Amino acid sequence: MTSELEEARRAIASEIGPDIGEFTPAGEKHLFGWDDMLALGGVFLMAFLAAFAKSAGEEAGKKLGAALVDYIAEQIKAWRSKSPQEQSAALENVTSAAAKMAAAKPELMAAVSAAVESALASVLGKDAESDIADRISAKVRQQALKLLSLQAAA
Amino acid sequence: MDALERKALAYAALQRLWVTLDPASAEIRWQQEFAFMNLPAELKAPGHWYQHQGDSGYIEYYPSGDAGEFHAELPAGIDAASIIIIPQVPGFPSIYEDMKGLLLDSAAVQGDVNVQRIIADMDELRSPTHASRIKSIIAADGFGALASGKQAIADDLAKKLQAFSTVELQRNKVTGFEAAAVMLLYSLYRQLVTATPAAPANLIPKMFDPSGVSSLQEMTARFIHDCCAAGMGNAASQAIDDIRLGGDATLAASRSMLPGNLDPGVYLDSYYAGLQQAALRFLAVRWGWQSVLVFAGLSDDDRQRAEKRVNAVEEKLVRCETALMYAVKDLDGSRYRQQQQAIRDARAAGDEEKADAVLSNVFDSVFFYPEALKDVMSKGA
Repeated sequence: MTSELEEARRAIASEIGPDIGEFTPAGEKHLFGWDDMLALGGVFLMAFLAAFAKSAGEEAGKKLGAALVDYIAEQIKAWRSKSPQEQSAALENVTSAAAKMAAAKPELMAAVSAAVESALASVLGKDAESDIADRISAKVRQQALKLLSLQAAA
Repeated sequence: MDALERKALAYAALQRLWVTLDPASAEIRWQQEFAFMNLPAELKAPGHWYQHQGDSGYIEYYPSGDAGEFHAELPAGIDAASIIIIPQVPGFPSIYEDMKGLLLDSAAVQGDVNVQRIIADMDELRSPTHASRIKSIIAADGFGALASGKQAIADDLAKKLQAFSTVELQRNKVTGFEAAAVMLLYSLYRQLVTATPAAPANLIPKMFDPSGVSSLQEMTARFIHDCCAAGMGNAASQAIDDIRLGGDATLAASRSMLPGNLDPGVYLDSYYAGLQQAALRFLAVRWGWQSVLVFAGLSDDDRQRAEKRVNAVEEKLVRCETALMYAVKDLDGSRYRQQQQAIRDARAAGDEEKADAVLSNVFDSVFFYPEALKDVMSKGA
C-alpha cells in the first residue's frame, strides 16, 4: 500500500477511535484495538472511492440518491469480509479507478464527493448516532479528496 | 516538582481510579492489574492471550503492549491450550491502603485532623451503609423540592450534580456511579418537564421514591423503567443521548488539551481529570441504556438501538478506565519512556509500520496521553 493510502486510512481510523463501537455489531462485547480501527478506516475509504468512481462514471445526478446508499452499504458489507491483504490490494485498485475518473471529469469532483459523503453518512447512520456518522463521513471525504489530488499531481 | 507535589499527584491518580466507578470495582481491576504485572517477563510479551483466574472472557495483548483487547469468546484459530491463566495474588496492597499511606505521609502539611477526616470519608465510602445514605439524601431533598415547583427541583438536581461530579467525588464522599445517577436524573428531569405531550403528573414524584431499592443507581434505573412504562421512552432516550453528546465533547476536549506553560505532571493530571469527567458521562449513558433494556415493552427496533448504544459507549468507557489505570502506572514517566523506546527501536529496525502502530495505540486507541504529546513522543523528546 502506498504511504499516501496508508496515511489516509490512518487518519480515518484515528477519527473513528473510541467511536468504533458505533460501527460494530450490537451485543458483541469486544473491546477493539487499533488494527480493527485501521481495517474499518480502510473499508470506509474503499466504499467511498468505489462509490465516487461509479457515480462519476455514470454522470453525477442520474444515479445518486437511494441507489448510491444501497451501493455503499453493499460495498461496506463486501469489503469487511475480505482479508487485510485483499483489502490492501483492493484499496489500491479502487483508488486508481477513482483517480482516473477524477482526472477525466474534474468538474464533477465537488458535487459527486459531496453526494457520496451524504450517502455514506446515511449508511453509517443506520447503526451509528447521526452526529458521529456525519463526522466520520466528512473525514472520509476529506481524506479521499486529498488522496485524489495527490494522485492527480503525481 | 518536589517530593510532596509528586505525592499529591500520585494520590490524585489513585483517587480518580478509586472513585470513577466505585471503590469495589476499582480494587478488583487493581488486583487484576497487579496479578498481570506479577507474571514472569517472558509471559508478558505482546501478542499473548490471557484469562484472569476465575474470570470469564479472554484478553489479547496489543502488539505494542500496555493494554489489551477483550474478547467474550475465544476467536477461531486460537489454541485454548496457549491461553495464559493469570493467577490471583493474595496480599497485594489495595488502592485504599496506598491512598491512606500517601495521606498519612502528608499529615505534616495537611494537618492530622484533615488527614483523619479524609480517611474517615474513605472508610464511609466503602462501607455497606454508604449507598443507602446517599440514596436517602437525594430522595429526601428531591421530595422536599417537589412542593416548591419545577424550578426548585431543577435547581436542586443541578446543584447536586455539580457537587457530586466534582468536589464530592474528589473528597471521596460519593462514587462516580452516584454522580452518573444524578446526571441521569437531571437530564431526565429536563426532558420530562419540556416533553410534548406532557409527562403524567404522577411520574416526576416517582423519581425520588427510595422504597425497595438499595442505592441511588437502582432508584434511577427504576425511574427510567417508569418513564418507559408511562410512554415517556422518547424523553428518556433523549435524556441519555444528551449525556452521550456531553461525554463525547468532554473526551474530545481532554484529548486536544494543550500543555501551555503547565508543568508536565500537572498537565497530565489535568488531562486525566478530563478523562474522568468523560468516563462519568459514559457510565451514565451505559447505565441509562441498560435500564431502558429492562423494560419489557420495548419494540424490536428500540431494543436493538439500546443494545447498540450500550455496546458503543462500553468501548469509550473502558478506554477511559484503562487510561486512568495507566496514569497510576506511569506516575514516574517510565511508561512514557518505554513507549518512546519501542518507537525508536522499531524505527532503528526499519519498521516504520510498527512505530506508527505504537503511536496510534497509545494516542488513538487507548488515549494514554493527550494528542499534543503525539509529535513529542514520536520525535523522541
